[in-house]
Amino acid sequence: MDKESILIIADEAAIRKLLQITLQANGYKVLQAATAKEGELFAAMHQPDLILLDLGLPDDDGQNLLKILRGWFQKPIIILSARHAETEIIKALDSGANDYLVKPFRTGELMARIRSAFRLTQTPNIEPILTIKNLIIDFTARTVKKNNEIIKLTTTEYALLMLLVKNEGKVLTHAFILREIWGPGYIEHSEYPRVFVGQLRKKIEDNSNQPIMILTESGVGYRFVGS
Amino acid sequence: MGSELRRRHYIFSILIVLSVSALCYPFTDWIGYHSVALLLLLTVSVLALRFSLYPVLVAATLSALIWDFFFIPPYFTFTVGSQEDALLLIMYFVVALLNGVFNYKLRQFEHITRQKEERETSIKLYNTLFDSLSHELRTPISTILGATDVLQENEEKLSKQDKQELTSEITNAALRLNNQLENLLNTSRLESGFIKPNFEWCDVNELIYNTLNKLQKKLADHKTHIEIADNLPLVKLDFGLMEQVLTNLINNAVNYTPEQSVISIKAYMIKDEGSIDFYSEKQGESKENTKTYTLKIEVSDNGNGIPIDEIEAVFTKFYRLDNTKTGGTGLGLFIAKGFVEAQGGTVKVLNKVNNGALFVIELPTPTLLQTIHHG
Repeated sequence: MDKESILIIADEAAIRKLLQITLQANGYKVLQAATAKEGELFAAMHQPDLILLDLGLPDDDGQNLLKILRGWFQKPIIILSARHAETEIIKALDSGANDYLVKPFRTGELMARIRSAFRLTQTPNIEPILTIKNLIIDFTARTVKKNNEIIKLTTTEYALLMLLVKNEGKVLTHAFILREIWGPGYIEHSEYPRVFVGQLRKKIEDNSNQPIMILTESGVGYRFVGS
Repeated sequence: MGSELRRRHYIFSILIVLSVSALCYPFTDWIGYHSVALLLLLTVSVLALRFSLYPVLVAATLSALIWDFFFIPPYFTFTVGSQEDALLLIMYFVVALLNGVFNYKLRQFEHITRQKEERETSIKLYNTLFDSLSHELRTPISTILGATDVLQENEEKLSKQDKQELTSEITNAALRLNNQLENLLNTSRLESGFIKPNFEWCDVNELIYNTLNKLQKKLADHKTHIEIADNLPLVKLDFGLMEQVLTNLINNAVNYTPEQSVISIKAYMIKDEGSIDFYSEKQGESKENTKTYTLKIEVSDNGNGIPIDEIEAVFTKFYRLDNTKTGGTGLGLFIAKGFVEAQGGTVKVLNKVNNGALFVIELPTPTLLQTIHHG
């Protein structure tokens, strides 16, 4: 199998070096760009399989570059962002970023995000029966079993679980969940995801207070972790 | 000084001079008009102690005119009868004016000295603070530099375990630096008034457990006791800010108590009157409660508590309890307080009757019942 190539667009040489070593050690081919201009050029020239984009760039706003790239680049883009930038993160996710990492991040986290981004693009079709931890989801029968016992889910709860499972490993913003499950008219009802995630956790998690599947991303949304 | 206050000073000066003159007037024959001059001079001097330059000058001029008009014969004219009286009047005028001016200068000088002293104390405060801060930052930096040196220079001599220990020291040092930076950034966010809470519906259980789960490592050597009221409604607050508040309060409790101490977290809601009756409200449609309730979160420990004479100061920026062994910049509680206040709430601290410190967060918030959705 060909090594997947990853383009790093980041201003800081030290960050690029660190990412390069980490990614190469994990078997990826690495390309580097230090500016937005260079990033755009390399993305077009080398057609990488994934882009790591630092939002703080010297020559242009990273958000802007993200929009330009999303004009034609279909593969995953993961953004690197500063702390306390929830609005920036949400904005980037809404303009098509697949995921985000807050600096400083740990290598394990980075690799998990990259793996899940690749997984989501490579397997568009989910198998009819899926086993996640102690859950068995049967998509044809529309049933969910926990420890081999069927759990009763309402239509909305089932739809929410499906949305999370299909985007396994990826963060979903509150707005995205609202739009997908309830429709664009319900964007203002920010309480819906909280209530239903709470209900869903009580049904599928062993301990809904220490969830291991539906994780809260403070200020951003939720992330479903299957493995 | 506000113009309102200045106006009051003018009016007050004039009134005082007028009333002293009026009081003296019936007794002029008895005490003699020279004594009246002395009394008026005394009045002006007293005024000069309290008021700024111009009201005092007005009082001085006015009193000279009054003395001339009503007290120096011939009465009710500004003409002065004798040479001696003319000299006295001029002297009076000069002394009264100088009195005002000197007093004013003296106060100005005092003010400058006081300012200088204040500046000196604040410089001293900042120096101690920079000392502790640079110590807080330098310790992890030294660790990182030392560990990397050892790792690079003694490649062969080190055992695998040594290497692992050194790298984990580097990790810890970096995390510590990151924490301190976070604290400093949050402090400057607070001071610049940059914090605008992003109010969202939140589940109190989720808030508390999410925070605790992130602090698992820190809490490894402590016991936790969690008590969250059943069926709490959703509340509107800034999840990120509240998470930081709880993190800081819990970190504080961990840092200031011995291992195996119990850290308790309690959450409940009170109505304004203090009753807890949102459970009884109609459970039907999703309806936002117009009445504001107060969410109370308590974080307490069973350590030694806070010395009574220091309890007021714990929320002060850069304040550290005396003889503290643990590291820290003294910013955690300051940030916690600032973040709660930014959301319209309050934090109090008290000592529990049977040992330990208790922090109480009170946050007025709209509520939304949760047990309503079956769609």
